[in-house]
Amino acid sequence: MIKLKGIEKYYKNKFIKTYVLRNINMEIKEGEFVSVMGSSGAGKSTLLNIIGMLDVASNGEYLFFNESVHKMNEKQLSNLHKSYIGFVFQSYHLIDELTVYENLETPILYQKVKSGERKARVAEILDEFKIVAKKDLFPNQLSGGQRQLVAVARAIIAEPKLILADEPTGNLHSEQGKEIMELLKKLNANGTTIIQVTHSKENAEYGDRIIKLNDGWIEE
Amino acid sequence: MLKSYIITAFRNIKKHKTFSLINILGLSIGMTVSLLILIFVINEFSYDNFYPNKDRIYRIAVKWGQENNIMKFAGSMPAISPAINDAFPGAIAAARVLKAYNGITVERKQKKIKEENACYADAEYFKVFALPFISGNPETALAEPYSVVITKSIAEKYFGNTNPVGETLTIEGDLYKVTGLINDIPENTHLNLNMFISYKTLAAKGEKDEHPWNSWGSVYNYVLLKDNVSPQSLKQALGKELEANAGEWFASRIEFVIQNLTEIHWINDFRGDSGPKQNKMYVLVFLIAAIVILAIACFNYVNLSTARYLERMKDVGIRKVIGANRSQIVTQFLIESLMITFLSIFISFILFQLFRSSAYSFIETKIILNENYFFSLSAVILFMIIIVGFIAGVYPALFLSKFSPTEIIKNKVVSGVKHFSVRKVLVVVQFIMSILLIFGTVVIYKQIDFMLNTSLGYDKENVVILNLISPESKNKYQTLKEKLSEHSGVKAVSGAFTVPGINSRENMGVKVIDGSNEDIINLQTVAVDYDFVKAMGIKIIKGRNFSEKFGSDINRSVILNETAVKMLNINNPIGEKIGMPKGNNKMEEVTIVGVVKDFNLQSLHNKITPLLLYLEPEKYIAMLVKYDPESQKDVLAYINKTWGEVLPGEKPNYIFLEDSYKKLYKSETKTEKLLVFFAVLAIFISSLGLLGLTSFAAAKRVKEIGIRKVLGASVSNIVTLLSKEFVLLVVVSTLIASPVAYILMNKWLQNFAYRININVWMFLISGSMALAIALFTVSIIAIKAALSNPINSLRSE
Ligand SMILES: Nc1ncnc2c1ncn2[C@@H]1O[C@H](COP(=O)(O)OP(=O)(O)O)[C@@H](O)[C@H]1O
Ligand SMILES: [Mg+2]
Repeated sequence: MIKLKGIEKYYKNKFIKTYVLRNINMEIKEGEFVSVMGSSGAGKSTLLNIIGMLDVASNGEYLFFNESVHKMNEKQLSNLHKSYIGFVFQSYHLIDELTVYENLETPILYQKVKSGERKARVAEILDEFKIVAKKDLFPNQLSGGQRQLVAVARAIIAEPKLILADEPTGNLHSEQGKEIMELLKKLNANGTTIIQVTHSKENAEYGDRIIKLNDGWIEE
Repeated sequence: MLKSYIITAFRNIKKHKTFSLINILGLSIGMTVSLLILIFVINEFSYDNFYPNKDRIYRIAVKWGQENNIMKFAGSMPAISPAINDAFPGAIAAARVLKAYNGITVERKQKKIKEENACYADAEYFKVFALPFISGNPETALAEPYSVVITKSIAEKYFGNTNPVGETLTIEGDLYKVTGLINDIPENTHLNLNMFISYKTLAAKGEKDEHPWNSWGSVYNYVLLKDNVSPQSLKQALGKELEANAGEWFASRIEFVIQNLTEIHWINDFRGDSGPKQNKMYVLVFLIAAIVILAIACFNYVNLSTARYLERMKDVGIRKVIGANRSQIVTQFLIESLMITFLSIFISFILFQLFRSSAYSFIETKIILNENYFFSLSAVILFMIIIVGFIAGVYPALFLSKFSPTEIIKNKVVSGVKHFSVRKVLVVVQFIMSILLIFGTVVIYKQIDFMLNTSLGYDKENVVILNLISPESKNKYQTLKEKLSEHSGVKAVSGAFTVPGINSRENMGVKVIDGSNEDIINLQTVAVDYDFVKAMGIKIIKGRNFSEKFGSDINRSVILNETAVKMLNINNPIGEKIGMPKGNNKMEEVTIVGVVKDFNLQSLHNKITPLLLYLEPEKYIAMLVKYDPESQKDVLAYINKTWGEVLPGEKPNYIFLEDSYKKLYKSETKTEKLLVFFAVLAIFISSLGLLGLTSFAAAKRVKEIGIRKVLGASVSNIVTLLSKEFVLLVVVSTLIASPVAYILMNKWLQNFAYRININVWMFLISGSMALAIALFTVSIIAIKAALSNPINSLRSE
């Protein structure tokens, strides 16, 4: 599904290049659950963003379903990430002005899903995540765990093949964190590929495999 | 999708109250003013636009005279239309119209009403003005004498709902046949008519039916030209015809002016013209003011939207991450700006309805309320929603939608944002416009002040002008003068042909008799009475005033002003003889008995003309009464009483000389008032924007302000910190606005022969006024921020 060959990322400041990622080679197959670990500033988020096509690598090749991401134009990229990838962030990133229901609806709105189907999908997800009672609340009326629950629900509503979770439990109590991790596990069991960034050894164990980043390098 | 856009926009508007309030307030004001002005402009341009073939319909007007002594008349020779119909193949038809100026009395059954909008029109009238007939035959309707075509409202008045065609009406005692019925003519026309009597009736009634080429009065000639026939060719043909019929001397003094129908509303310097007039410059100035005010309000929107980029960035980032393309984000922002616009236009519409009638009566315009009005109103509103919604919305939408999601997700504050300069530029432009308006006001104010208070060479205080309007009052002038002079409070009484503020003018060509110079010099001549010089307080610098002691002054003596003496080039004017035309253009010899110091008989738009005063009681159109200020009340009462005694049933029509003089600057005074109004609006809306920008800046820097305060910064340190930048922008605006203001206002001042100089202090005043207002606005926010307890802002971390 994902192949990274010699991926590098640097930022140029005047004439000094600061490398964030160095010679990243890896492959992730469909249905895998991968945990990325590493100290703060190691480049984990950068890697995730490149995989999620929110950011572009400075060097190297990135194949997504055997297609070269480098060669795609803006529109193709946008369509690709719209329909294949869902994101979950440490700080939830819900839209404050929208209710839970509307937050869940927005991704499929952007994909121009018909109104009837939209309603059905949102209802289904609300049910599945047991947040039906919260559907008319705004994000700031929810607890952190509930918000992350909504964020995960939003990430999967468009039925992506790949979920990228950047420290999804970073702001949660261990109890809430566990709930989220169980959820991801369940999604993975249903066939969704998952890449998560985490600091916790315990949470990393939910994955099939752990990739360690150290100062931009993959630790073997 | 649209629903989601609207919900989001609505919540955003509600959430950011200050932002929305400032924008809605500014836009509402801007749009109200624009709405008022655009409706006014459309109304002005709609005149006579409803006539079919309006582009090919012309009125033939005339200019009479030579060189600098030319008079223009809207009416022209009655011979013109028949001649065109006979011998000018380029025309489809031509027709004369003679308005019944004193009205006509129309009778039918018990009804007897005076109709004010009737006219006599040639049989070809409805060929030129192809108004559709409801009933009757337009070809023949006006062919016979005692025929009349009427409009629907006249028909309803006299015939109810029955068809009037074939029926009769009594007009001025004669029986007329109604031969045609047409719809009411829209009011936006220079020819507001509702009854058309056949022109031939005039001859049938025994009035002169000459078609003279060498005289004209109030008859208007209209012509419909064929496609591709130029008005120039008509002008030439008429010129030849005139020369053949009226002779060379007459023809050389006439120039025909061929005026397009739709232009007539804009032509305001022809005597005896018909219908309301408008000045194109005036309309243009309004249009510019509307655009400026609206632009300033739009700039607020742009500035405040982009100033909020930090808080909007996160929203945009998230939406992009969950799948929005840029166009969807742009749409989101545009919907928001359209909604703000929509709310604003709603308020504007209410304000428009509230202020419409007072605004239009202030600018002395009548807005015609018909279907077209409602159509234009809707069109203008729609146009404004779209234009403002997009103009204000597009830049912020494009700007805010371009942030890349990673920057936001990484929680990185975007540094070195270059759009900031756009915001600065817009603030500068807003203040340039405001300063221009303030400066314009200052200059106009000073010029008017100068004109009202400068020494005019005569004394305009304590003089009342009594208009001699009726023929009786002219006949009784001597009696009136004698009686009025009897009052002890009256210092001088004189009749005059020309008085400041009353538009009457006579020019004559005179020449010096001594033979040194054969040239005929054109002077303005004023028929006055013995005491004119005394009543006006004019200074005699050589010789003497007219005096009855000499018995021979009438028809024998004249007084010149200094300019006239210079023009005639006479060294010792007193006793010098000059020839001036009297009666049948014969030169008669008169003697210069006095020279007066130059005085401004006209407005200060004009240079002092060479002037000749002579005694000629028959020409007086007004009396001047100079009185003792102590007994003003007595004198006025006495004038009232005396006037009634001498002219039973008549009341004096009077105006103080001072007010009559002021009236000369009516248009300037009005412009000044309007400019003050626009300047206040412009600076108000600009300040609103500044208020918003400062509060955002303050909000963004709460933490910084808190830390500085903890470190010991004083309130004034903080205020300076927040105001510095905006103050600098206003200073830059002043610097840029000054030369532009100078050029514009200097140009305006060229309208006046006597004018003020533009001074440095005028720039300083305009700039410091803008600065003071800006500073005040910014300080409100800055002081509030500076006074807040730093603990509050720092604890939130
Ligand atoms: N726009 C940028 N310019 C310069 N340096 C950056 C930029 N974005 C990220 N970095 C740097 O890249 C490194 C990796 O960041 P990141 O991937 O967020 O680390 P983490 O592993 O904590 O998620 C950090 O040292 C960060 O400072
Ligand atoms: Mg990170």
